[in-house]
Amino acid sequence: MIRQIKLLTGVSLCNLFGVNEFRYTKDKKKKSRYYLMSILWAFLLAMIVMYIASLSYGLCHMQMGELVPAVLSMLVAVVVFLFTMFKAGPVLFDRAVYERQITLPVTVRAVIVSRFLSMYLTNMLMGFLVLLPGMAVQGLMEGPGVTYYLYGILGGLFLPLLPLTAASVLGALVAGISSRWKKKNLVAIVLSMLFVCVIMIGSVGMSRMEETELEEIFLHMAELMRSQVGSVYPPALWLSEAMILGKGGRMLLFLGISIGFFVLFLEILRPFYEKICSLLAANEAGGNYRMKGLSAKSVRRSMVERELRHYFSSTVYVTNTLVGEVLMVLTAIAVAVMGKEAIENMVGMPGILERVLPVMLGALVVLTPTSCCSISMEGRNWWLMQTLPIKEKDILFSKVAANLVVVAPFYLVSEIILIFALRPGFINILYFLIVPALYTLFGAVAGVLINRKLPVFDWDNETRVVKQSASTFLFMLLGLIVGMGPLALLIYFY
Amino acid sequence: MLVIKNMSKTYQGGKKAVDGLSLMVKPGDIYGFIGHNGAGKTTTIKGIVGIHDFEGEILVNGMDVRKNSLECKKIMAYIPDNPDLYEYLTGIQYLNFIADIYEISRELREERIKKEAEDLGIYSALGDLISTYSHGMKQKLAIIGALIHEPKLLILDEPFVGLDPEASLILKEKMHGLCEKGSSIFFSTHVLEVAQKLCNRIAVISKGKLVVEGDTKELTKAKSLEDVFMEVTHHDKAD
Repeated sequence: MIRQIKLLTGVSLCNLFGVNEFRYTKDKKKKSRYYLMSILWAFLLAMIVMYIASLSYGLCHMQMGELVPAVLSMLVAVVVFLFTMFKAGPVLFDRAVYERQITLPVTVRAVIVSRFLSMYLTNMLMGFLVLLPGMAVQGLMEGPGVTYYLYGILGGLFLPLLPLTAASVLGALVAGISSRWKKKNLVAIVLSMLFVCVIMIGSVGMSRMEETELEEIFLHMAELMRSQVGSVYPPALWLSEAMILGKGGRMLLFLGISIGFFVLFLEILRPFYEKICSLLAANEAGGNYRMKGLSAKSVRRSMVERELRHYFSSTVYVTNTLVGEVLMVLTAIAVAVMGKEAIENMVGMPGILERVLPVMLGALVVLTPTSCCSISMEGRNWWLMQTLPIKEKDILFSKVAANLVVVAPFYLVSEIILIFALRPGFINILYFLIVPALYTLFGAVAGVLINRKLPVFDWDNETRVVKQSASTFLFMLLGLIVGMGPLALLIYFY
Repeated sequence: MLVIKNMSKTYQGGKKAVDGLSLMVKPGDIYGFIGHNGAGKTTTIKGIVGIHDFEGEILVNGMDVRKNSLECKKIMAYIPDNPDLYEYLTGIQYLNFIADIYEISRELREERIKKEAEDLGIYSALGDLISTYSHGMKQKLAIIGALIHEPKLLILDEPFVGLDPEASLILKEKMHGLCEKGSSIFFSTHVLEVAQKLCNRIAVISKGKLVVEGDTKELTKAKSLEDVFMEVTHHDKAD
């Protein structure tokens, strides 16, 4: 079986980060896109390394060096979970891959493990990217023993196992439940969004602190941070204790729980895997159509409707681009439930909410607009857009309009909640309405323009377009600057 | 209806797929475009329909396909060899979308869709998602979509691949019917018997160059098209 896993994983990973395509393509445009992506990645990686190094330096400087492994491990776990919770299901149950691999003489276990490993290795690299700079800083400042590095490297190898398994459980649940419904995509979208809400509300509940707690934090910071990490993600503490105190038992506990949880998941999923995949791949065909009268629409309206149908047909596309909008509504609900004063007292900035909230809502909307990968999402169907008598501006219009239609209900709901909860004055109401609307429009237009410059059509997995394409990546950077920049300035000049 | 003047296309990496190709398709012509795999057939077709850029000039009904792209596309229709259609739409949603793009009236689209779908035997499946269709059904749906606005120029890339015998026969009838109304058809194929029976004009392309072009009867005379094809392409290789 090991050989089967090795072969299947090798095939999945041979084009990791597009390396194989980059090596063999003769297309200069494609090559230059890869160069651009490499520059963006290098920039992002440098920023992450700098951030981790300064965080670790800060902790060591404040005599809290023993917390470095715990904080970094928790950071890796949270990031791996958040980045893979929408990806794990579609990758594990990828219809095309399933149909290709299940016809080969390989075991179901090998198929599942290879699908899992294809995600695992990238997450492991990311884990080391976080752990190694922290370990280097602490190593230089505090000179720990050999076991620190030994357990650190061993921990790094297994760190993504637990969060990735948890994300896979979530993905399997969504796939398993939705596979039994006729409208599979819709059910998967609703379930995924529901899980996001539960996770977000849960994490806010866990990290919600009273004013007195904040004072306590400054008095007993190290102890409180340790207990926070322990309550959110205990395995991070076990790994930390193994590295700092050399406790081999803690290391065994960390490895045992990580591997055990994965093996348990594998064995529970194995008997149902083929059934779920075939149910997900099965389409219902009635074969009993009778024409009831068609409606003629304008080119633009027809294009927008098609765009929306496309959008809602893809679980990966919806779940990855709608998180900002869901967070927007959750933020509004949180403000309404907790109350303006309570939140302002908690952050110690009276009057800040009315100033920052509109920008914050806008920043959430521009996280990932649907338009920033909408041209690439046409994929192999792009020939139709090229050969039909459609003006380019109509294509762009349909993508921007579809983006606005998707955001509209979330925008309206969060605005209504906030206006009722905060009861701002007339000028502030305008501020509340206009700023997020402008951000939405900016995101939709800028997204489609960036994607127009950097389209990718020859993809075989939607995740590659929605999460890993150059245009999405570039827009995320732009969104961070446009969204977080003004927020930081507003708080700085408070 | 279609004039190609000195068309060339060089891909990134230096491969010259089409080299100085010139030909003319008149109204009412069924024009067969024949060649080996990789001879440059699909590249030529993709240049005509606006997918690829190229050197030279292509005119459709006297209009330059690059300068008057939209006007040309309005009177053209294209069916690729492996039509990737919007799998998230039902057959009828797809056809209605295409009809909207060509601005076909409600009554006319209903009449045409019903007739063509019944002829090709996929009427009852029009309410199902395209993702449930077989390759042949997708091909048939693409054909209906292409005929919905009665194009003046129909471009097809290997149209008979994947079609069942009955559907192939119906498609040939449709092609004849369209040409009788004054439209032209330009299609690539590997099936030489079909080309010989169906086309009034034929062109053979080899390594991107036009090696022979003319009236089917005059070209073949007592020989089969297969013999002519082997003769001209092998002669080309010997060169």
